[in-house]
Amino acid sequence: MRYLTGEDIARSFKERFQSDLIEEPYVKTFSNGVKKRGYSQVFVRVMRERFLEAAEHLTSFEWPHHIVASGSDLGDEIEILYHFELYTESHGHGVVVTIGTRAPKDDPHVPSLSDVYPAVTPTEREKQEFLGVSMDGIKDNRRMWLVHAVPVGVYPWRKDEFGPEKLVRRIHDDETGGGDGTKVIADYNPFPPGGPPIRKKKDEGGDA
Amino acid sequence: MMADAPPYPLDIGPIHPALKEPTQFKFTIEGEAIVDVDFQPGFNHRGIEYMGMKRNPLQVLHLTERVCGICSAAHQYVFTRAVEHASGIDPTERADYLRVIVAELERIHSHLLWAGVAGHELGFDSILHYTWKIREDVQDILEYLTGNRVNHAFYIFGGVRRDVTEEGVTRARKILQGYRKLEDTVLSVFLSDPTIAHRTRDVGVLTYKNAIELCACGPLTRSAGVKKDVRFSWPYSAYGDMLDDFKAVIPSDYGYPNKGDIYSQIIVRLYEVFEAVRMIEWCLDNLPSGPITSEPNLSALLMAKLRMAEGEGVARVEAPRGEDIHYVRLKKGKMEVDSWKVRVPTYGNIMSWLTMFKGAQIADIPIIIASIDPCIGCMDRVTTVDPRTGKENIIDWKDLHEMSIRKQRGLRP
Repeated sequence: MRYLTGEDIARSFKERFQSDLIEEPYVKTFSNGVKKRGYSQVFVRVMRERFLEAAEHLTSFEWPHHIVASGSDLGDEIEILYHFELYTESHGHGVVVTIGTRAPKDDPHVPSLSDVYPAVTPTEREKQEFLGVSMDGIKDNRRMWLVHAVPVGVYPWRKDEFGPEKLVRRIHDDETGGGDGTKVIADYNPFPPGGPPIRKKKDEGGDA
Repeated sequence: MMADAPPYPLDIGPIHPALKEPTQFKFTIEGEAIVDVDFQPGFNHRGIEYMGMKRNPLQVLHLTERVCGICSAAHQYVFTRAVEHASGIDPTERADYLRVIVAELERIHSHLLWAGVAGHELGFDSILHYTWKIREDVQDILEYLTGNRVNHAFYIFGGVRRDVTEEGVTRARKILQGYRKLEDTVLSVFLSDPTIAHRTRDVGVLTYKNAIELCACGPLTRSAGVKKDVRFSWPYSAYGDMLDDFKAVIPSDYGYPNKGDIYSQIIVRLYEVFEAVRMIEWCLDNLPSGPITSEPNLSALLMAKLRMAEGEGVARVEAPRGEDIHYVRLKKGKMEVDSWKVRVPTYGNIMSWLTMFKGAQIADIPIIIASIDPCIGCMDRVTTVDPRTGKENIIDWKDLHEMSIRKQRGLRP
């Protein structure tokens, strides 16, 4: 069997999707140990209109092993990345392929890949709950990962007003500092006005 | 509410004696047979990824170990590599080997722990006592090499934090020799016992086709004959150097059928223990000399390399339970990790679990749950604390300290 390299796979996506790519597909190659045998990972980002087609294109190389979907809040957009491995049963020829797409926050939906890969349902349910992005055509739409104490409408990985900041109780919150739970940790002064608390000395004879 | 006619619902969890950690299975049963099952995780969600995105990579490094107590090294290992892939930091050759040694020691301890738990779930507690007794040896050497039994704090971007000494190598070799001597005994205890065979053969079956379609991982998928092992398909660290000497463990290589049942999983895990012993010995024999990290200065590492890095990286390791993957994105000029996703092996095996239950009996539920070596604490990563529980139930550090003092006073002659 001939194994394609990361460069071959990136080129194949580039030729087929051309103007529908969000960015040029790229390959990262690493080598470890004494013999420096290389292994690579490919990143492909496709517009959501052709994302399902891109996911199917992956099966033209070999049936890929779906690992997980990750996601990020990019500010104005939400990005969903699906991580796969090609040639997963090979001896040293595996290639990690990440295919991703983006949805604007004013229209947050992307196509679900559950018709192509049945195993993606749990991870797509996670993306819905954690990023507030809807997966069109998902097989099971129920809430799964977040406990019921987390209110609906709060998405833990969002970095905007829909994020979990207001639920977070900070360790230094008191009546003089923070308190409203909206400040970010980096800006938060751990001390109330007047500086750090000064500890009074104990009377003689007390327990050391 | 109980339905009037079969099939009946049966909920196991969130808290149940058959479960070691909180999660919920909603079974539909007809008589003793399971006809359908649904799964509800999320009861142990701790917000680790959220916390990680508020901290710099060096701080997150210590958080990663707390994702899981059993495979703490695996998570630190994979996060270290994901950050290296995102930032372009290269580990040294010696570090690549030392990383593998600790990862394989962890595999030995995790598989032996699992074997004991599996025996316990079958009502065979003497196996639990035996495997956990021999597991102490690997815990001792982990403690000697890294300084701790559980959270080793061994991996760092660019290398590892501790070197092994000549004495450490001698001790490790002695303990590995001890495991080699036990190989026949351990295999015969598990594989020649009619009770274990009776309870685990043809139970919780995952076929080759299902394993491929449902993207299962770890010993579960190898028990069905799928040669899926990240160490060999995507050879990271020193595994690339070992490709000619080692390969993924599947039952048919040892004279057993690739049935994908729990018995096959026992075969895979036990043989992997002794394969790991040989791998560590191979690493000790071929250990290159040189520095253990490419950037020993932590301030330079954080301020010059990690803070100024821009990029994304995916890293995977074969943790004892299966494939563990982290995705990391770093932004130039930003101290915190911009994006972080953790996927643990149990997460990847949820869909397979549901298939394995169908057609099984109620009495098989505990061993099927235990068979994939689940780690719910890994899989759920946020917890919410209910403020209504009241102060009286919370033991804070001060209370603990006072209790400690009281106990100490009680011990005084």
